[in-house]
Amino acid sequence: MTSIARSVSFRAFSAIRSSYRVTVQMPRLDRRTFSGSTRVSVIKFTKDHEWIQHDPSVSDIATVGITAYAAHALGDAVFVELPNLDTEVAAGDPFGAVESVKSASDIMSPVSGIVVETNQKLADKPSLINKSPEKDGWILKIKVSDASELDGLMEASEYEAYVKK
Amino acid sequence: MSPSRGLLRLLPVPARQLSAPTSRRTLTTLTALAASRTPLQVYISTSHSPFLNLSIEHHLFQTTSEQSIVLFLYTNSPSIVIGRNQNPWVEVNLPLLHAANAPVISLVRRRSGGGTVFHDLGNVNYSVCMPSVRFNRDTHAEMVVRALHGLGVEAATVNARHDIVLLPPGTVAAATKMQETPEGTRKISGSAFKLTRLRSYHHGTMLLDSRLEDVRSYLRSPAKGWLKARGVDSVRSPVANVGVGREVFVDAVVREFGKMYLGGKKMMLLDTAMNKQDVGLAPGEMEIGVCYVGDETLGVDDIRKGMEELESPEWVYGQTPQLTLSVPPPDGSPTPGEMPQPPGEFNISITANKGIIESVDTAAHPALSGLVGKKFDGGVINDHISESGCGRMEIETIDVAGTWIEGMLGRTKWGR
Repeated sequence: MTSIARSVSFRAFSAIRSSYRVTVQMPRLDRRTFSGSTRVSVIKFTKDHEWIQHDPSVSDIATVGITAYAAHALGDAVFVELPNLDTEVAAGDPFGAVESVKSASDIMSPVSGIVVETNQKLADKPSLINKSPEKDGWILKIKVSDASELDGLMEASEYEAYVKK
Repeated sequence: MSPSRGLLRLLPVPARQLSAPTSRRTLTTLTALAASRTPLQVYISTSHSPFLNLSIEHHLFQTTSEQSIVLFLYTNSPSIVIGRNQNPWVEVNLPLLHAANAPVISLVRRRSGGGTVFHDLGNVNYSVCMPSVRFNRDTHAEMVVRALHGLGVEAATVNARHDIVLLPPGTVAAATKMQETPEGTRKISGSAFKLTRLRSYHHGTMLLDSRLEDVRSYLRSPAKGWLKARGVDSVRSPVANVGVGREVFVDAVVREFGKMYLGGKKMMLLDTAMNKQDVGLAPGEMEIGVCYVGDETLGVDDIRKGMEELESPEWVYGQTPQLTLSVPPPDGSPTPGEMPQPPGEFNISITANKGIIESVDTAAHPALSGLVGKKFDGGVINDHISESGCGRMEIETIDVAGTWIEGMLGRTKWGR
């Protein structure tokens, strides 16, 4: 987890966010009741402005995207570079990139694992990442190799405080 | 290169942060300065290799200390530089670029975003890498504009696309940044950016005395009308040369950088460095370091590996977003009239992603399905067509079709 927990407090994009007011929109929690127990997806956030949604009780596959804050700061996406399926990544490795306003910005993997699905809608329509960064504009699904890595990531409230700093 | 070219001219710098061995001094100066906490670092390249210069830039981006602000200036030999997510078959006339009698022009894919630009010895690239938290897309374009104003180029300003432009002759720019520019404005510098959480850079070209007329034909792809491509399009703009000398420009930009971050009172520190006078190292007073870099930096593993990656066909061609070559042209596209036309009865659709053919519309020519998995390249496709024959097609049509495709796409390094 060292790559995520780097002890530096800078925030990328903060200087280009201009007058954007921070409103962190939360992905909808996926609550399902099954056999009397409540399963709750975990949603965590990284300092690199990604979100990861995972329900370890259902499967070891998590969904990853960038936050509304990041999507706004980057500006209009013109291309989303998606990794090949079966790419194996370590937490903190770049596994894709968003291009906006002549800028290439890497997307870092929040956890270690293997890429099992990429959002093909983004290939045809990169602007989805601006319109719906935390829902339809998800970037990929990853088979998590060590679920405990999620513990080191930020809760929604912590992330909100992080981007407001 | 003489050893003194790479000598680190440090303005008072704590010796402990240098710890440079006395041998191989030209190499260790870059690694020492890049590894130091010197807040302001200036690197000037003596190499004209676009691959080496972009690798040095990337190395500085990845290794310089989190708080430092790094200016890097370099000039490349003739090169067409496409953006990270662009398509060489769309942007570049590859058959012409690979023609036997073509002049040597490097095809380069950079790591930053944006569109295609041309570099040659009449162009200077400036690059500023800094903490993301302080980064702004215009800051250093405006710094360069101030340098130009100081050289008497008063029509220079930054436009809404973060590019530097020249207002029509006789105009004096009212500000270093203008959201709207009048008709007749021409671009002299294109900008692109790379952003990460901690560090970001802005790099830009500056057309001083570029032989733009030499390159125009290379930037028109014959295949463009037959391709439907994902990725980033170039925005074509009328361009102009500034008409000042390279050394004059480099000096002016370095001085403006110094003014901006050192302040006027400390400019003598910079003057000392730029005048190539070695000064004693005074621990604790380090403010700015100036370093000339060149081929000796290939001794740094990361730089050499980065250069090999940038030069590899896997990066230049294999990084290309999805594209489809189709005859007749893709839906809605007008048939490209001026381009050589394919032979009659020849309909085809070839889709490639990351430079590898993923699917072929095989209805008319079943043998073409053998192209799936092969590299998307004019030479590869032509050779396959002539070797396999194509179903019901007449022999002459097959040959003509293969030759036509190679004429559109070129026989590139990627196919070899």
